[in-house]
Parts: sequence; C-alpha cells; structure tokens
Amino acid sequence: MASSWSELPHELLGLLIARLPFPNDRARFRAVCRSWRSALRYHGHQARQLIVRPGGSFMTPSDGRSYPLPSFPDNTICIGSTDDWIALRHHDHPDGRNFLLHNPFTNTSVPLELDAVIAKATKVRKVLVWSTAAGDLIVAVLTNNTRRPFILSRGGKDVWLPGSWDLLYNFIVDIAFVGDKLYAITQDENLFPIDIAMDGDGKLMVADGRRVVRQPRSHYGYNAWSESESESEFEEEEEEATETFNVGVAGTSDEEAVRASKEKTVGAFDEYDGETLDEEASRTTDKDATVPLDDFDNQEVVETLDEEATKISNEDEKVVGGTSNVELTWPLNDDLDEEWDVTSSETMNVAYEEEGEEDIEPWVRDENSLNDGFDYVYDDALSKALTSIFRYLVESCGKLLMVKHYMQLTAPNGLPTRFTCQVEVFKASAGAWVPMTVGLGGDQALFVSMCFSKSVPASCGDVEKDIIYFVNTGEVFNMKFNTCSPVRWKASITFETWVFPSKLVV
Amino acid sequence: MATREAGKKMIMLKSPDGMEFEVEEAVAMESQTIRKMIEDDCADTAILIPNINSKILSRVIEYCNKHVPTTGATGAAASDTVAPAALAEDLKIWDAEFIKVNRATRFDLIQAASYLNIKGLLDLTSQTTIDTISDNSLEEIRSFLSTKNDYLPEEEQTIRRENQWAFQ
Repeated sequence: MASSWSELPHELLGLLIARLPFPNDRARFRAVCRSWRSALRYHGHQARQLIVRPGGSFMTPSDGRSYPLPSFPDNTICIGSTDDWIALRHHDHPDGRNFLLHNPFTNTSVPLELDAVIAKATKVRKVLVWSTAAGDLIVAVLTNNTRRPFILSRGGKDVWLPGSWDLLYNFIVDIAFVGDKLYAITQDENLFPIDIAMDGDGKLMVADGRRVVRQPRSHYGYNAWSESESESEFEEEEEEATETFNVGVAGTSDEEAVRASKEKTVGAFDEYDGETLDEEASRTTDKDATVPLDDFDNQEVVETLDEEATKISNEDEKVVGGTSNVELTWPLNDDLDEEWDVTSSETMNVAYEEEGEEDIEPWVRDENSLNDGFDYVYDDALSKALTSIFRYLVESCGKLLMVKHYMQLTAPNGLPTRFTCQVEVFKASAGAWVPMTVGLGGDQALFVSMCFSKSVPASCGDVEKDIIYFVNTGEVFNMKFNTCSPVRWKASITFETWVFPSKLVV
Repeated sequence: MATREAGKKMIMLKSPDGMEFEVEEAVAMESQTIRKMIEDDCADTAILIPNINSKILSRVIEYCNKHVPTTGATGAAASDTVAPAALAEDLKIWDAEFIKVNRATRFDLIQAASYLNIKGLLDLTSQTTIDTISDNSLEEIRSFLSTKNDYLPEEEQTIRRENQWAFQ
C-alpha cells in the first residue's frame, strides 16, 4: 500500500483525474508532483471542447456528467461564447452593467457596455468576439429585436448599429469571423461581408460589401440588395466578376471614392425617405463596393495582390466606411433621433413601447421581435411532424461553410423530442453554395450550436474527422456515411454552447 | 451488528494484524473484489484482506453494512415503508459524517476502497480529495495532502509556464 499521495497507484490517480474535467484543475494536478504528472499524461486525455449551459454548468462530450463551472459569477446566465470566452448576462446588476465577457479559465471579466442598446426584453441570439491586432475587442451581437438586430461594439467603448433603413440586418440568421472579417448569412442563404473598420476618429464603422453568395429573390419578400445590385446588373456583374475588383481598386482615386461614398449616403437617405435611388449613385456605389467578392475563393487572390493595390483597397475601405460612420450609423448619444437616444435600460423600455405604437412598419413581425432564425416546414399534417431548418455559418480552414440542419420535432409520448432528419453542408465558392458531399476536407470536425460554432482539427483529442457535433439535438452526424447517432451529453434545450479552453499541456 | 440469522450466509474477513470480522455475505459482496472471490469459490473458510489493517477494515465494514441494499426482513421492518428519496437523503447525511476523519484515515480509506473495489466508498473518498484539488492553490493542495514537491524549482517554473493561463 502506498504511504503517501504521490505513491498512489496510477489507476487510482486516473480515477481522480476522471473526476476533474476542468482543465485548470488538471493543470494544477500535474504540477503537484512528478508521479501525478505522469499519471495525468497517461489518463488525462483532455477534451478540447466543453458544453456550457446557460446556468453555468459544463459537460465534457465524452463524459456526459454536468459539473459547475468554477468562477461563474452569481445571478448571471451564459448567453454565448467564442473560443474560451463566455458572454454573460446579469439579471439585474446594481451598476446597470448587465453584459460581460468572462473567461472561466483565466478568471477574467470584461464589461460590455451594451445595456444602452439591448433592452431587457430583448433576447440575445449570438455574441462573437474578435481581438484585433491593436488589442481591441470587437464584439458582434445578434438579437431578436427588429430595431437592433445587429450590434457591433469595440471594447465596450464604441457601438455601431445599422441604420433603420438597413433592413438587411433583420434577415441575418448567423454570423462568423474569418480572421478579422465578419460574414453573415441570411435566412434565404445570401452570404455577405460586414466590413469592420475604424474611421479617422477611431470610431467603429461598417461598410456593407457585395454579396459573396447570392440567392434569387426569396419568399421572405425583401431584397436587401435591390438598391445596389439591381437584377439588370446582376448578370453583367457575374461575367465581370473578377474584373470588378481591379476596376474598383485601380480605377477609383481617393477623391472619387469620397464623392462616391457621399453619393451613396445621399442615396441611402433618399431611399429612407421613400424615393427611388438615383441611378448613377447606385452605379457608383457598386463600383467602389469594398469587397467585390463574387467568388469567395477569389479572396485569396485579393489578399495576395501586390502590395500597392492592397493598400489602395484598404484606403478605399476606410473612405467608404468613414463616410458610413458619420452619416449612416446611429451613434449612441447622438441627437439624430431622440427615440434612439437612450441612456438607461429604464428609459429604453419606455421608448420601446412608444416605438411599438407609433412606428410599426409592414416588415415588422410580431411587434419588435424577429423570428428565431429558422424555418418551420410542416412535413406531414397527419403525424404532426414538424421539420425545422437551422442554418449555421462556420469558418473552417479559412473557408466559409453553411450547415443546414433539418430537425424533426415529434411528441411520441407526449414529450417533445428533436432528432436530425437531414444535414447538408455547403462551401461558399464561386459565388454559390457548393454542396460538400465527400466530407469537410482537411481532417476537420465541426462543433455546431446556435451560440457558437467552430471547426477543429480532428487530430486533437477524440474528435473524428468529417463529424458534426450538434448541441441542440445532442447528436453526432457522420458526413461520410450520412448517419446520425445520439451522444451521451444529450440535452433537451438549445441554449447550450461550445467552449474551447486553451490547450492543456500534459 | 451482523448477527447470525437463519438462512444468512456469513463470511469471515481477516485483517493482516490478526483481527477477524464475521459479516453477512451480502455485506461483504458490496466489495466487488470479495464478490469475485466468493463467486470463484476461493472463500471457504476466511478471506485474508492484505494491506488493510483492522482499524480501516472495521470502518469499511461499517460503510458496507450501512449501504447494503435492505431486502426482505433485514434490519427494522419499518425500513420497507421508508421512501427511497428519504432513504437516499439519510444515506447522504450518514456519508458526510462517516468521511469526517483525519487525513491519514481518509488516505487509507481511499486505498482500501480502491483495492476492495467498493464503488460508493471510492466515490465518497475521492470526492473529498477532488474538492481539495479544485478549491485550493497548488501550495495548499500539497500541504493538505502532505505530498512532497519533488520538482526542482526551475522544473516547477516550466510546469507552471506551460499552462500559464491556469495559474493566473
């Protein structure tokens, strides 16, 4: 028998390790003594991904047991995640700061100044975080509120909101970062970039890029691109897809760009007032659109263009966006529109009620609430099977993938159960969604949830390649065999998210 | 505790320091290790439990006596009417009291539970160790568990640096 803890047999230490799934505990475990370290190396196979539930418990996919997340702040719920960060919403924080980012592995928190733009009743659908090279934290938020369906924030200091005429943002179902570029898909499967930049005063600004993947006008009844990508120009642009970029970069001097942007701004206001857009303004806008990526694969070409062209392109971006920031955004405390100038959540609630009464536009569904970003299709009226289609945008090896998840909701024993009936994966390529039928390529696996989706190399941990892990049905889909199987961490609600702690060195 | 009753098979357990414990077979079979011995007919007269002294063995038997499923007429007749939830709650309280022992005893118990393969006792004893690891700093863990730090100072620095995020 061992006479001290460091002499305990490995299998007994392995038992302890199995009950310590939190990576920080394992890091301390291995630092206790040599024998514990060697036991961890043998038994401590660490899952790189954890499932975090809103209430602050976490699960490892292989275990299925639920553990409390250490250092989870009181009175908060987890509303999203990005890698090792979770986004938290406080029920009612005394100082009014109800949103924060929290890293449970380093036990650090960053307050997000989103209280002025997210009303209490607003549901947050997604929170993505990106650290810029300059050390800024860019936060992109999707909500179910038609007034502010999309919010950008920089380090909790600076907020950007789309203009109220920019209905496009109401149709976003998912967003994903590819490097420092943000992309969005709409319910009708259009893919477009949201170019984030800083203006001369260091304020956030956004320029809408041209659609990367275009879909024909859909039954959702609104074509957000009608003013800039009219159908008559559509085919012409298709043919000149590659050339457009060169024209845009080389043919537009800075001066022209400024003029063009101003025209765009004017045009936008015209449209807001209900007038038709001036044709020339429309054309010019097209010309200096910052990312004319009809072919997404061309992005690589774009990025590897000679330095000068890239530089000009960047300047163009700034100019366009800069104008955009001054004229097209709704700065938080600006007096552009008193109704929008809200400084506390209390006044905001009031403002919301007023807005609801006096300003309902035809496209506003269900008061100020967007749908949840998925379709319902009644499959079979007799069996009452309801199929819902979820669309996820996932970055994988620099490519953008769309995962279409068809789920059926049945209640065989009175208990509603979700199961996958079909999964389709597409890659954004050559201006279209190309089905990926043979696998993801590059030994990747996808972890998919409403809150955060990530593609990980299959070589790490017990992850198999070409497998898609769905949080919301608790199922694992094998792309190669087109099969779906349940997993141990089966969960009945859809608000869990994936969290990816830093790699534990064992 | 374990009185001889008609129809109940008794098993003799021997500790290395010469003590003998007569227990019901059902109680002894809480240990998967002993169960296997009995099933393999290696337990004719008495089973020697090596490495577990009488003090620890008596505690282990105490645990098994409490946790053996009460079937039929064993124990008080009233136990049949007790709701399972209440019974589980009662066991939990009992467990919490049972594990209130000094560090050395707990260390012996975890090893005994591991050797005898008694899942419940192993869960109980390892949980307290796990709590120690989760709730404390590295230095505190070493002190609570009286483990010797056999790393060289520079080695420990490297070990910490490798997972720096976990030590912030």
